[in-house]
Amino acid sequence: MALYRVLLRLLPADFRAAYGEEMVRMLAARLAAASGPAARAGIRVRAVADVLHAAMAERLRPAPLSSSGRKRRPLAGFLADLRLDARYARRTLLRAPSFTLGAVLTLAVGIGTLTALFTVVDGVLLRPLPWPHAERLVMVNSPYLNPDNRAEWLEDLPLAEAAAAYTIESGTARTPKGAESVQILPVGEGFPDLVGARVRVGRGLMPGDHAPGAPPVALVREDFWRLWWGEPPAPGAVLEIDGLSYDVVGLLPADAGFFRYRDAVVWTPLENREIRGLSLLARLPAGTTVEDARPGLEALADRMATPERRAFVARIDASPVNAYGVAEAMLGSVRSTLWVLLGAGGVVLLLAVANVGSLWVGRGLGRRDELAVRAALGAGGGRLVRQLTVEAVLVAGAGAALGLALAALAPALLAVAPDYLPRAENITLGWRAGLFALGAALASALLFGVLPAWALARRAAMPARGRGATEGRGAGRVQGALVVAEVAAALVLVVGAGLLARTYDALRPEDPGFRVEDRLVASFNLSASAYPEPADRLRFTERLLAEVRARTGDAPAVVATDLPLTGMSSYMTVPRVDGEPLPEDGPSGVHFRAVTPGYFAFMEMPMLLGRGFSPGDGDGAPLVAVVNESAARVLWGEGVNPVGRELTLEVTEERGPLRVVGMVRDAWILRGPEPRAEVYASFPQLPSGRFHLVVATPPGAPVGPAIVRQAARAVDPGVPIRELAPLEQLVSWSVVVPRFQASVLGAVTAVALFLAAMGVFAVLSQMIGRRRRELGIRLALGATGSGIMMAVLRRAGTLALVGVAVGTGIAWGATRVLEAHLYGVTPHDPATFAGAALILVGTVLAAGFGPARRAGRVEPMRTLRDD
Amino acid sequence: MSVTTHAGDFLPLHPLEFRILLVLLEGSSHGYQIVRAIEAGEPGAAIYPANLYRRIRDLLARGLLREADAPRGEDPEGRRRYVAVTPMGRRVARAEAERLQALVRDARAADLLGSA
Repeated sequence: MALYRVLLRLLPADFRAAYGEEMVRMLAARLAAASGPAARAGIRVRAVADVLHAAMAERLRPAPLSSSGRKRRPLAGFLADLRLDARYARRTLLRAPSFTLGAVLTLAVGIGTLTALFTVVDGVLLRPLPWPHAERLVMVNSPYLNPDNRAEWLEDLPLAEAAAAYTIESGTARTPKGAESVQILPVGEGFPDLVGARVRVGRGLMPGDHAPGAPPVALVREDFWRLWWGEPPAPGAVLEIDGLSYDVVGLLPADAGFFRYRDAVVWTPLENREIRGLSLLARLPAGTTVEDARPGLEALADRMATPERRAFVARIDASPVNAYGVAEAMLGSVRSTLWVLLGAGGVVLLLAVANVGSLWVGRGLGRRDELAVRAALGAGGGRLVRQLTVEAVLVAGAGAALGLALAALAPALLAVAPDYLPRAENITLGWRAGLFALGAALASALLFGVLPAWALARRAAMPARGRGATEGRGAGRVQGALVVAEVAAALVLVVGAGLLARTYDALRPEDPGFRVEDRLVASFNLSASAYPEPADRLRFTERLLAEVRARTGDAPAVVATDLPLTGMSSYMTVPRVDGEPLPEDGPSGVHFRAVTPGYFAFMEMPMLLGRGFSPGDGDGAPLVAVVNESAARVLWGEGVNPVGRELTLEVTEERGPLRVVGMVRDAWILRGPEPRAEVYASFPQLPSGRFHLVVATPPGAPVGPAIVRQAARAVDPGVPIRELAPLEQLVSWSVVVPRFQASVLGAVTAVALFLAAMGVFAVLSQMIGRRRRELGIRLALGATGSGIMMAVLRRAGTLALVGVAVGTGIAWGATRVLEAHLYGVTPHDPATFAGAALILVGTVLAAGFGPARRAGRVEPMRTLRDD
Repeated sequence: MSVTTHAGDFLPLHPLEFRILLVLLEGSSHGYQIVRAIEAGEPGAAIYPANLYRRIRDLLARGLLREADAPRGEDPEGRRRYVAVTPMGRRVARAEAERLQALVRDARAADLLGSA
């Protein structure tokens, strides 16, 4: 009801006076007669719409001229008036260029920031996923799902309208220009239809292609084929991947894909090949969700479980079945971050609007005479409002145009977090962003221009009074309130950005426990067909290391299966320690990696006990291991010397236990509160086809990517380098999410602080301009310049403190939305709040310093003469 | 000012204005009573205050309605604003009804409403 009364103020005063009370009573009666909360809500919504409609109709109503006999043509007359208004507005605005420019630039910053963030939210979250009925697609996997029972799973999948199996692999394709790493999407029957992939050239996968023993065929993505072959495949074209030749039967469009597998350029039937992980994709009927299917899925998983598998699942504490909506799986992790950022962008626009609104009110006071004259000459209140509205819309429109140009820089935001955002390629500045900016501009114009215009026009209709001592006090109050609001809003953002920055800081171990700088990483994935035996893989790495050393003048280099803090780590169960199984309630496994001799020295990880790996720990020598402090503690207990003990890993169960030869200091391998338990094996004893080569690249040394590429090509031109990057860059992956959040919110906050400072500066300047006369009198009566200056700063400080108080209250509640993103800091961290308050007060005082000094230097005689 | 007005000058009426006049033909009434009467006669209609009073205000301004006293016994505190139809309002309502009737007749002739 209170809101309704406020809304009634939109109606003309005489109308409101005559019927306002009646209207309120009628609505109350209606609400009382309504049957329930839903009905009451409906009544409220309709009542609001009713008032808005009536207010618009009243305000746009041509003046009641019916008695004069003038023909009424409302629309044409309206448009003609609008043209006049626009012309007049343009002239008015150009007459005050600095005001206009300031307002346009401020709005451009606000609209640009918000639109930039909108393009991100729109591209990533709002645009529909590119697969038919994507909202009903569900991904299912289970430790009880395997190639042998896949058909049964598909048959019994609860609720599913359609379902197909798929998996994702990587391999090495032979192209006319050399070996290329590719992602392969082995798919079951029906998968291309489920994701709406239409073959462009050739044919799709047929049931016969999925039959047992069918020759291997592949669908290849058009962009990939064109890149390497140039022309469309001739009939009978063949693609060789990992030594297996596929008949290329069709080309898929460049946008064909599924989930995050953007690089899956080869689709092939998953039958007749060795499959490791397997997932199912199902389409649920309209109106159902993954939760409806979950009980059925759990029952199905339970039915498919074998006793051994069940024991394994219990040991590693895995869930029996996982099912996610595709959208949730892709976007769930970034959704709340992006909405928070968009909200921050909204705050920035509000700050810009507050600044411009403050300027507008100040300027409007100066135009009272002009408006009064126009009113006296017969311009109705509505006409004046429209005039001022047109001015506001013109300014906001210019701001939006400039803001869109600023928003074009949005993709630069993503540079801080490559690969973090899914669907980042959708972030474009298109017509949707344009419409959004336009909407933001109109909303802004309404806030900063139209509402004050209403007040002004009403006042203009009154006779202009003489200049009084209280002139501008109302405006001063409004502007003071705006400053408080700006400080409060900026404080909320500063607190948010501060909390995220501290999270980033907490997650970035100061000393990760290993050397990060000056290390170049080349990642390889040897294909099983070219390198079937462990000895083949070992030979490749040995030759690779030799080639690198030969070309770099013996630069240190090592090989490791996983690198710390890169987001990847192999976890492995430990079936036995010193011949005994691990206790049921204890840990089930450790993080595992195989490394070549010299790894610990190379990574600058100190050995605490025993020794590292030596060339003697080769194939055929007794199996050895190095553990870190955490592993020693977890497996043998605090303070027990692990050297000489034995443990068996999942992968060595057939070959017997590894004997621990050394203990190395803990290092961070995954982000988190503490180091994990790690066991290292000697790479020559457990060689893997998937490994990283790490080369030292001290500053000034002629070691670079080109040399590593040459070395790899010298060993085998058929092996591509999957990834080649400095270790520093790979390590940053582990903090990429908090870094993205902290840096984007930090940038937005910097803009907000800047706008708040500008607002304070403008308000104080205007206030001093208005009070020149008073200040002059005071100075003439003996006040000192510094006293005046302090008074102005005190005023600024007071506004800042009130703003900080209000903002702290809001931030206290608002930081809850960040809670899930925080680490190592609480949402109500006192240091962050105090720091933010200091920043705000400092900003306000700094912004107020210039105007305060000017106030202190007012020359009494000149001011009084000017009057 | 001696402007002779003719009932036809006011046509066509806004449907809501016509409904208001129809309700008031039965005697003076205030806003909410008018709304209830309209909504009772036309299930599904929903009249909200702002636009209702705009129409009442316009009808008053054109002399089709006049302010009226509450019927005896109703609204003893005099808080409600009662309106009643003027003779001109009555003529305009009748003219509007005739206009609508003519329209319906034409619609019938065009077989728009079937043979019923």
